[in-house]
Amino acid sequence: MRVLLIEDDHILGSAIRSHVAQQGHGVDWVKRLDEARDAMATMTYGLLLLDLGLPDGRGLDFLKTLRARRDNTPVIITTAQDQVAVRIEGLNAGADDYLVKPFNLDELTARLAAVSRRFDAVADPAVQIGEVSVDLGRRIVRAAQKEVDLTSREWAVLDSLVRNQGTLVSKAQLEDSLYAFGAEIESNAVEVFVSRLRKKLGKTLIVTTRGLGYKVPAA
Amino acid sequence: MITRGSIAIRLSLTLGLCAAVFWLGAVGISGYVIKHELGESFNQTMRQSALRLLPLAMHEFEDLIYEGEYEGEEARFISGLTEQGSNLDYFVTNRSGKILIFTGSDFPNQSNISIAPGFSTLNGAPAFALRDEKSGFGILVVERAGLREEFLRESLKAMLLPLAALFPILVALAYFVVRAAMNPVWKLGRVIAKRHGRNLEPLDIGPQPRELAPIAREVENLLERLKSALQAERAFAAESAHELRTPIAGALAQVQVLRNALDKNPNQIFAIQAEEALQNLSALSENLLQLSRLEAGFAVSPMAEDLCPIIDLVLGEHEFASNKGRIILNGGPQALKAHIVPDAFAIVLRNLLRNAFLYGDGDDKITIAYGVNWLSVSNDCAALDPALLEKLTQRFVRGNETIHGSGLGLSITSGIIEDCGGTLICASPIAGQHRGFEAKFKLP
Repeated sequence: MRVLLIEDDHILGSAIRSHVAQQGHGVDWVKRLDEARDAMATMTYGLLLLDLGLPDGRGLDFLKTLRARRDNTPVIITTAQDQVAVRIEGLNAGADDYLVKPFNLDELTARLAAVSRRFDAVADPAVQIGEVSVDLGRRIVRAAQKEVDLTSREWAVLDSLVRNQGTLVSKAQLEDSLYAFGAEIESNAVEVFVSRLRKKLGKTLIVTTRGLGYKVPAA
Repeated sequence: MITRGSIAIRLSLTLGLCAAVFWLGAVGISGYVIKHELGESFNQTMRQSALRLLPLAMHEFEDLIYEGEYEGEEARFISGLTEQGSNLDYFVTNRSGKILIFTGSDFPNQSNISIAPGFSTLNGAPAFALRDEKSGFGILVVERAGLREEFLRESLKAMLLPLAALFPILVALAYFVVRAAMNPVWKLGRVIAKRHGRNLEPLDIGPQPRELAPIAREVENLLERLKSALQAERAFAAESAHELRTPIAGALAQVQVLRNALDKNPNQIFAIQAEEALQNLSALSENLLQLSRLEAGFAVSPMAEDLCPIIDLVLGEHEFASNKGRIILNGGPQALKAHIVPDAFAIVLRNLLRNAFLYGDGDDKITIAYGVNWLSVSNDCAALDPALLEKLTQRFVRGNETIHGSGLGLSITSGIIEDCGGTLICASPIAGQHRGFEAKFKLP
């Protein structure tokens, strides 16, 4: 999943980006609302982590504008404002969750998983695909009852496919989830990571539809 | 505050006493004037009496002398007049001073009397002597001793007696007048008394008497300044919380990233310890910020707030939501409503729940019960020492030294509840049980 992190504090922002990326999500980090608008104009995000007090405006106004144009991207507010009234205003403005700073990154991970699960309407965070079990919430994947270690980028590809289980995911979409890791990617990066996933989890897990994309079969 | 006596009573008594003192002064001056005037009047009476009586006596005695009937006779005594209320006695004497005739209640103990003409005293009684140089006859008019003092006393008594009757009437009258005059003061006092932490609204009592208008105006200004100062202090405390939380959040997040990066590395323990220290710092700074907000008087709400949504909100926080299975919520049929701001109530509930989770035994249930204006949080644990129980709401007192709490949670909770006019009661064991701890508060 590709996450847009909108946070003006450098120390906190870099830690969140690093942690979320480590969880296998692609992260774009911006420090201002105008940068966030630009990012959202060019990219589709699976989730927004939104700070409320930003140098060029209130995060809540940004959220209201977002919802007003019927953009339903899940939003988790991360803020130092713990007032109940602000929290209620945030939730009423369309936030899916609210985290008061300081918070544990593990808590952020759990919230992130819960919100995206809710958004994707995936009731069960542990998905069984043949002999492979994928727990998106806890970032655990097992093949033939054995836990398998995946790199962040492998996770990003698998996450994107599992969240759209049974649906074709285009190569461009998978590339988007990889671009967020910052480094340049090769034109055949998607094929490389799909190949690695097949090696680790079995050849039948990911089905290729030539010229269109990839998918994991429905349960 | 110690209440001193009523101003109305003191003022009316003072007015009454002042009137009495002035009256007494007036009586004193009058007495002095009366004494002087009485003296002159009585002297005039004696003098006029002597002037009228001496010619008559001379006429009488000249006839007797001429007819040869007088020589060697005893002095004539005219008695009984004094008994009829006469205040003047007189003696008629011849040239040698022999008493020829006299009035009075008794015979004089001397046959001769010699007094220089004019005013003088005889045996302490005022007297006036007059002599006819040609015939040698003289008259001495003597006023009854103490007559003038008696008149003066009577006059003074007549002037003083009304004061005795008038004094209580004067005091009562002054009291009612002062009371009526002080009605606006009392009204202003009542209106000011209604102002407190929850009510800093303008007095709004309409036009005031000239004497009270500056006070009412200044009180209104003071309330306005107080309101602004409290709002500024609250805003500052909230702002401080915001400014402090972000760097702590950054440090904590960086340490957690480091901890994850050092997975399976022996040095990970240092990152874990740093994280723990930061967590404690975060909790402590949070409590200190809550204390500063409490000092700023943020807890009291001017209106009764519905607190049930806040209970749901707090229970939805990750800290408690992840333990939702342990929490039993027993709500009454009516909503919990009280004059407490939602943030303060959220702090109270969080602190009580954290306390229950920290000191509760194992996985036992934690019960939240509430009614219209009360809430309690109880957990299972061994009964606490009564001496410790008494001190639990003091700052930096922990129920169990082996458990790492800040020792401020219950103190802050108690402060918030007291600010809102309620009381936090801690009980252990729970009533009707042998174990457990219950923190319960009731708000007005």
